[in-house]
Amino acid sequence: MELFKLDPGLAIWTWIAFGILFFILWKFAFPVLIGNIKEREKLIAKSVDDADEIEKRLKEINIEYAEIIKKARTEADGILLETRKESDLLKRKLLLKAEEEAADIVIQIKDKMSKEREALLLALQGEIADFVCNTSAQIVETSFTSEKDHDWAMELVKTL
Amino acid sequence: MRVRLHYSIKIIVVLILIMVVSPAFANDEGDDVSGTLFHHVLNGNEITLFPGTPVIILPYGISVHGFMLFLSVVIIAGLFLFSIKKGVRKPRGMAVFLESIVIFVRDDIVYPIMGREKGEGWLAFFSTLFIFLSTINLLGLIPAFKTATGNINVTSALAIMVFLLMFIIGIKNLGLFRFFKNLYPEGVSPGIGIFVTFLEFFGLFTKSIVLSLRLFANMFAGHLAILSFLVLIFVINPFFGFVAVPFAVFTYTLEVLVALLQAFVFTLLSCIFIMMTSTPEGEQ
Repeated sequence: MELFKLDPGLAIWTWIAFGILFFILWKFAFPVLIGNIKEREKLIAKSVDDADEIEKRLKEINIEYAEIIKKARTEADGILLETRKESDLLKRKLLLKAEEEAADIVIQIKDKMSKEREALLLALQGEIADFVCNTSAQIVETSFTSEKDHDWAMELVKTL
Repeated sequence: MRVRLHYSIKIIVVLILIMVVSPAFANDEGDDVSGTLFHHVLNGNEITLFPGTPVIILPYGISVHGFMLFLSVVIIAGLFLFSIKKGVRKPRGMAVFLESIVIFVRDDIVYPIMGREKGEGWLAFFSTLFIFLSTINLLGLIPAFKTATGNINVTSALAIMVFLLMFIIGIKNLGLFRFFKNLYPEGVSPGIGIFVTFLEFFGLFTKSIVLSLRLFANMFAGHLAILSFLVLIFVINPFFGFVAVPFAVFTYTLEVLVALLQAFVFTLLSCIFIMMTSTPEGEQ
């Protein structure tokens, strides 16, 4: 049958054709092609590794950042608390000082006032005494007409 | 809707043209349908590039199938040598296509079966086999060309090559005694063991024969199917073209798929067979 007719020549040509093609590709094409593919795969693998490394570093940085933020927040809270304590203390001190100063001022004023009052009282007493004396002198001058009364009155005034 | 109508009119015009023109190119053999069919499929030394043009007779007794083999060698070698350049980081055009074929063979055939270490040495061989078969199969789909793999001698030659490699690599890797011991099943009585070894040994032959027949039958039958549909136009009625041509076009499209699929199957099975015979059973 024509369909299954043996043709050893064609079989040999098939081997020769395949052999030639395999030799050409194996010798000239595949080393270059496979080399290019490998080089590109290495480059891709390196890029992927680099990307992984960057991602890892980024995660670390994020963690560090979060830690720094947390630490800063804690420090800020501490500073705020400390400041608040210090300000309270300062406020209390200032208040005490102000109270003390106010008390001193009050005492000073009171002293001054009492001194002034005493001075005023003394002055008033002098004025009153003068007034009484003058008044008495006038009364004596007007009322005691006799010599005897006048003397008595003068004597009395001298005793005052 | 208008566009669809436009295409439908074009298709009908083409079909009518085929029906009107086709009887003019009918073979002189007339009623000998099988002769006409086989004339287009079987090997010879005549090529008709276009219907109606003179027949080209190949010189020095070169057959069409032999010519197709060397044409595919020239095409493949040319494509590889002109498009693959050293140190190109971003390949373009044909280089991308060729690289993707080699990567496909590597990642879907060689490495999964043989492993990275062993497969690296075999990549060139199986890539060449796959590209060679695909090119021959696809060249046969071009009108006026013939499919060399539709010839049992071509597929047998390739299958014999695989068969010899199975033996040579198997014996080289395992040694003669272990090669045959590899065929002997574990845990059975000696009688059954020898019988199974005998079957396994002949299985190596049948595997190669089946490898050859599968490729041949698929490629031959596909072309025969296309031609059979077209011959029906001459045999039954020119108006049968309305049915025959769409069927032929469908089968032709299917043939493109079959051409690539059969190249893949042949390469895959060759790889499996070589790996099976060259690796101890426990390590397979």
